[in-house]
Amino acid sequence: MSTVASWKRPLAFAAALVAVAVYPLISPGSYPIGVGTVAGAMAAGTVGFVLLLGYAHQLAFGQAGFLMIGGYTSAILCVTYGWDPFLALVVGILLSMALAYVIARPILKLRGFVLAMVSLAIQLVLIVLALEAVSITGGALGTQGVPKFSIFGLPLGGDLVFYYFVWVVAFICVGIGLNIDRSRIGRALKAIAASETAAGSVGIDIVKHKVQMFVISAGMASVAGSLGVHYLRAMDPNVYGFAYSLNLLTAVIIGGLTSVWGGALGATAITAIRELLRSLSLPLWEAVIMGTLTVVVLLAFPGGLAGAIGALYDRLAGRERKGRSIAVEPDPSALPPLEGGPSPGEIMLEVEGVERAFGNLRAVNKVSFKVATGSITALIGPNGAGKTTLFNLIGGYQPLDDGTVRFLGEPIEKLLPSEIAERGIGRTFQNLHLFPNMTVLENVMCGRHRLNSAGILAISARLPRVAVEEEESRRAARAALAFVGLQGAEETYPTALSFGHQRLVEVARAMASSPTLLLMDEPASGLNDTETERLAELILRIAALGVTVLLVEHDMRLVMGLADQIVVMHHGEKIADDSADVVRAHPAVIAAYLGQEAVA
Amino acid sequence: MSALLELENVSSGYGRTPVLHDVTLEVARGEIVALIGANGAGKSTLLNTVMGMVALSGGDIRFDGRSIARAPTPVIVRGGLVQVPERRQLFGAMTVEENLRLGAYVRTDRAGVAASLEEQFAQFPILRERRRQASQTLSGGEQQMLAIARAMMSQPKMLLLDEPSLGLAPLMVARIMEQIVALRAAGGTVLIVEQNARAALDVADRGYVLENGRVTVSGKASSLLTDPAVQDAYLGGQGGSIRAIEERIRAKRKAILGR
Repeated sequence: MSTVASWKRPLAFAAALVAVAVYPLISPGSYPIGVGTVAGAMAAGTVGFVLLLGYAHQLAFGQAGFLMIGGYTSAILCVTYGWDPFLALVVGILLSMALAYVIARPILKLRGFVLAMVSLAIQLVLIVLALEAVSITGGALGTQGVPKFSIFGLPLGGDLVFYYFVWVVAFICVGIGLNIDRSRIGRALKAIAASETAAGSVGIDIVKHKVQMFVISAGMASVAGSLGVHYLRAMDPNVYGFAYSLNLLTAVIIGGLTSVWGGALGATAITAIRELLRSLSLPLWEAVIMGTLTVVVLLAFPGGLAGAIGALYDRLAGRERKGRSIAVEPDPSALPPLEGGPSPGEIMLEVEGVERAFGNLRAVNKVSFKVATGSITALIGPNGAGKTTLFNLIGGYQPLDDGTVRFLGEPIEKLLPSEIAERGIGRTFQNLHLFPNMTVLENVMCGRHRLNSAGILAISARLPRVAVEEEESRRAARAALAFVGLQGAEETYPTALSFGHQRLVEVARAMASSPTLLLMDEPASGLNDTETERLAELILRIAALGVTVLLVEHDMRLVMGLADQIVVMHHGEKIADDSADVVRAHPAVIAAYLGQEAVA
Repeated sequence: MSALLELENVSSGYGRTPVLHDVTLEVARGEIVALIGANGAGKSTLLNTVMGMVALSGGDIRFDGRSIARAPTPVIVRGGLVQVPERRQLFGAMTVEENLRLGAYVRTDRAGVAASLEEQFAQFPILRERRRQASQTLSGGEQQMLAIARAMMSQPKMLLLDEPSLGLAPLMVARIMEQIVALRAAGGTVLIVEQNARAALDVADRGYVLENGRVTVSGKASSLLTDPAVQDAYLGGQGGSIRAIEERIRAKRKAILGR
């Protein structure tokens, strides 16, 4: 990585710190400092939202519901029960996160806009509760007389002190966000956003990470809610209503969804604009102007404010986007041989009586075969024979109707793709599934996901062992790239590579996960003869490491040349299962698949 | 034979990255022309440039005697030049018949569209059988047939086929190539872009080799098939018959795996 690029983060942090520190000095007075405080609280609340929306691609319309929880918890505990404000804030966080977890766990398994609608419904419920439970919340009038903020009796009473405190909290949130961003979980989130199929194939637990982000976003939103209430000194149902949810959404969109800084920038920007409009006595025009501005910002800077600033920095720093990489000879010694596992010849994968039907069509009909450890096995057959379906059944991408798939003696047919990957089954796809939102190196590092263990807490705090693990992942990913012959392409984005090289990135990503078994779906499709021969050599090198290979392929030269065992399917059934020479002469195979020409 | 499609010193690319340099190429009426080249050579960029989806930075493109260098894609399609995109790009959730009817989107003659539909069903009987089936449930070969038939629904003067053999079984590749020959027999003109250089050159009249965005070799398909340089780069070496490549892979297997 170039030094200029590595300066980007610290520079951004320093610039933001200076701006926040200097602001009250150049515009003193309780009103501007108050505006700054409100912006800071909102900024803290947006960081988690960016992770949820921009990274995990989960939309929530009722995010202000969690600010309500924080706000009411602080107001009620401090006013009615005389709690310490800091403790009340912590209780609010816990309540919000617990609620988020309870809602998210079941619904994030569903795709689509379920979360968006459910979060909206929950905010609605909270608003009604706040209005109706008059004895607790004060109803429409709300709870008045919230004390100034303090931590275990240590007062943060002054406006200026509170302003700085709020921004320190916001920076802590940004710091947590940045730590997540550059971790295995950050990559996992980007992977989920780009392709859930591919994310599953490297062992990323999709639901778990989406839930984590929803829970974090709820916690940070709750902090923002509590802090805001201590500034306003009162809480009522209108403080964090639907308008606030919409403001949060606007803030993260104009701020930029692909950067943790986006939320903070957006929060600051819209708070400033709103106050400006208020001071110009144009409150009625607020909605019109905010709406227009959102459209203008999005048209001018698709990456939002943060994206625009990042691009400007790259341009000033002269960091150019590299084009196509130069092909390098693969280095077969870059990856170590596979250790442990069963000895060659033992059964690694056993498919037994597997069935799958789509309506009346029996796509896979009672298919059984075994794959020996260390072998190269090819699955062939005419288009529509059921090969891809069978492959998807083995990989856990589709449920099977009947039969079992055993990997190392254990049934895996009920597992999710990520759980299957977790056990050491790597996979490449016919229609490439790379992550276009990450560099080639980060793509391959995603392959390491299953081998690393750093959890969300360790990552948020950036514990030393997280950095060690990251370094190890980076090293292993570079080795995998060297193995396939793509040194020099690390910092490129996959879309800048040719199709053939993109396929190699996928192989490298699968190999980075140190698989015991590698499933390859039509690896030679889209390659010319010369590239196909190079691919053959790569597959042989993979097998030489001790990795067992199962591939679906149409290129007969590749299959006949490589495979120890060939399984032929036709109309969903297995019609042959033998060595290349036997299969080649098999009359049924010739009739269904090869044609006379190939035999001649 | 007069040229139907002519590219004259065409240069183009994405943003500031040039891809094609001074490409000159022509396809005569009733001809099948193959464009072969490695991944990243610029084959798809060439098709996209012809179709007006990538802007020209130099040169001219003429179709049917008129310049289409600045024409937007819909105008080019209405003019009778239609692309069958790589990986089929069907409307997956729609039925076979709906896909075909969308192919005739630019036509307004209802009776004519119905007749064309019958023609395509006659040409590809399997599509008639599957007319009510969602196109994503078809096998790869059937999908490719549908993609070609959909393109034919607009009664084009010329087809641009991008990698029609991609992901197809050997028998199916042969069948698709037969269909392309049948198109020519019916008076059609085809430019076919292929990784599978052998399959394309087997059916083509002439061929062009694209390397790093430049045409390096061109000539009769039969002479390209025997050109040593072309064989080395695209046909798996000299004497690169099906068995020769397989034998070389087997030899490598012996060397690397010892079996």
